Amino acid sequence: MSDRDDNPIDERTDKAPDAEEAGTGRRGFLAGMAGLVGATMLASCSWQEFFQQQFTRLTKEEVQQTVERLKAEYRAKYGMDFVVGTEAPIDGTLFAYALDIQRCIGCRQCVYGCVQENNLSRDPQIQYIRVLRFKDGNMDLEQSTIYYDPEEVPEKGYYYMPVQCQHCANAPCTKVCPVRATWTEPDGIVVVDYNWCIGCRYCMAACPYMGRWFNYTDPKIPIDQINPVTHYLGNRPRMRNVVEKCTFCIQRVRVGKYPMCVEVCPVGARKFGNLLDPDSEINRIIQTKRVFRLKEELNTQPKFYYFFAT
Amino acid sequence: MKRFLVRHFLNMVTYPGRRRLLRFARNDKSEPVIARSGATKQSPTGNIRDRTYQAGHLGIAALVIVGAATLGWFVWSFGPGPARAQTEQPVEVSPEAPTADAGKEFPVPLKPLPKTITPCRACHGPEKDFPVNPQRREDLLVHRNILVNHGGVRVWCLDCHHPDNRNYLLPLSDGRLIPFEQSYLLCGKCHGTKFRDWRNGIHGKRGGYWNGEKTYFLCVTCHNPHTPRYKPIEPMPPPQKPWTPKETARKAGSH
Repeated sequence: MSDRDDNPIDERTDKAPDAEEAGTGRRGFLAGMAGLVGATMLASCSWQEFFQQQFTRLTKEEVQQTVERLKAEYRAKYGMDFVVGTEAPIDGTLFAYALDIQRCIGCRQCVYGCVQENNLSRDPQIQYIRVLRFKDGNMDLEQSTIYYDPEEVPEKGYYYMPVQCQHCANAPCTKVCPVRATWTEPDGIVVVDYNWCIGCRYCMAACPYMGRWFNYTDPKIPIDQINPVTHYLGNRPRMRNVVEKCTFCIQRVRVGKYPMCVEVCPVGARKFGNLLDPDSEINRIIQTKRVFRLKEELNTQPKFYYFFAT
Repeated sequence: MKRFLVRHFLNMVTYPGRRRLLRFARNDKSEPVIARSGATKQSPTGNIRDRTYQAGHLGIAALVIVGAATLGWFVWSFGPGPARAQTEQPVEVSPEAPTADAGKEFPVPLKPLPKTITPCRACHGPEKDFPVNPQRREDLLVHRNILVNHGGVRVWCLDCHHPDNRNYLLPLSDGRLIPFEQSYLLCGKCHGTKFRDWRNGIHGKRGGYWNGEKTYFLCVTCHNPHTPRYKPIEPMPPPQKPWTPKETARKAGSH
């Protein structure tokens, strides 16, 4: 394989004299095929991209080269300078999320804040957050809807429950990946290496929260709405045939900021923090409020807590 | 007997929840609203923050704490301790009265008051002294645009605004006036549980950094103090429905 690809240009230049000499001989045929395969690969992606290792196996230099290559690629595609961060997890952090379902008014501002921050495809539409609307007193997920569209929210007699990736401590999606393109980072964020993903969608089948999304086509984003501040494992522009998911805005939380959905929530229903810090708001919530986790009986151990503030 | 006592004290200092209580007490010390509850414990000698028990001197720490608490109780009940003197201070209403330190405890971004009606003492001041009318009335004259719907008919202007110094809100129990920038102190007088949650970052929104400086928002940033209920807002558009063969067939049939 590597023989063929190291020098695809040479193979192609070899092809012409071979064909003249040997005509339709075996050698000519093989050379032609090799040239064809090489040309196809070159057309679809660069050989560095094709032979790039999984992210956790890259050395520092390789990471740097990859980042440079991606930057050049994005500049050619979008005509602007991107930041492709590779910030490592901060020591002593384990991220968790809490959401006050008594306070959520279902305005969907988190949904669109997330779309903007994470360069999500507008067409076909991908939204990491689904806001479920339930009738008061009902907690049956199958009787909820995400397509409600009233004049004003909150509506009387309903309550809202946004659902996104729950960043499980015992994540079923990472176990089923046949190539280990998805894994849990030491700070508890479940990430995907888009360049290593083969697009088999096993993880989507395994996830009980529908927290993963597949790029059936190349994502389309208006050029003026691109967010150029990205992270390798987070919101860098994705390609066709890869799975993507919420990363707690890894490009923001690894530098100390709050995730975008926390930042845009108008009622402050969303809380984020470090589980290992005893004074963090997330720990105070778990200690003092009634909390529950979605589909706890599946033993996925989500780090996403729903709570009642009163 | 001695061993029994030591073990008893050990139980006292190490029972579960004690550390949380200590932490809570420590927080409270910097906050004037609950200074009264802290006053009994935080007598000049009663240093309950002594954490030497963690370093292994459990017995000594227990003795120190009990001794200090006893001493503190004596001081509090019989002597004119400074904490006691503070609570007994007569409420002053002059503009020179001490005020709560603005922005010391929580970095709250200020919400500018409307220029047209501030400073309040331009009208309610010594030059143009409107008489204070403590009667509840429907017609608010120049303030007619303010709709007061806070707890039904139970709350009215002078339940929050200072009658004699309109630049401030009603004072804390120790006599310090509350500036508008620290209105959360006044809100917390009635809405104690909400105030507690807000301090801990549970109620309301927080900005800044999850591992560093955080910004709080005043209660009145989200809740208009005169009509505090959160106003309904228009939701963002719902997600597209996924493509289904059924739907396409229906569309094709209608054509």
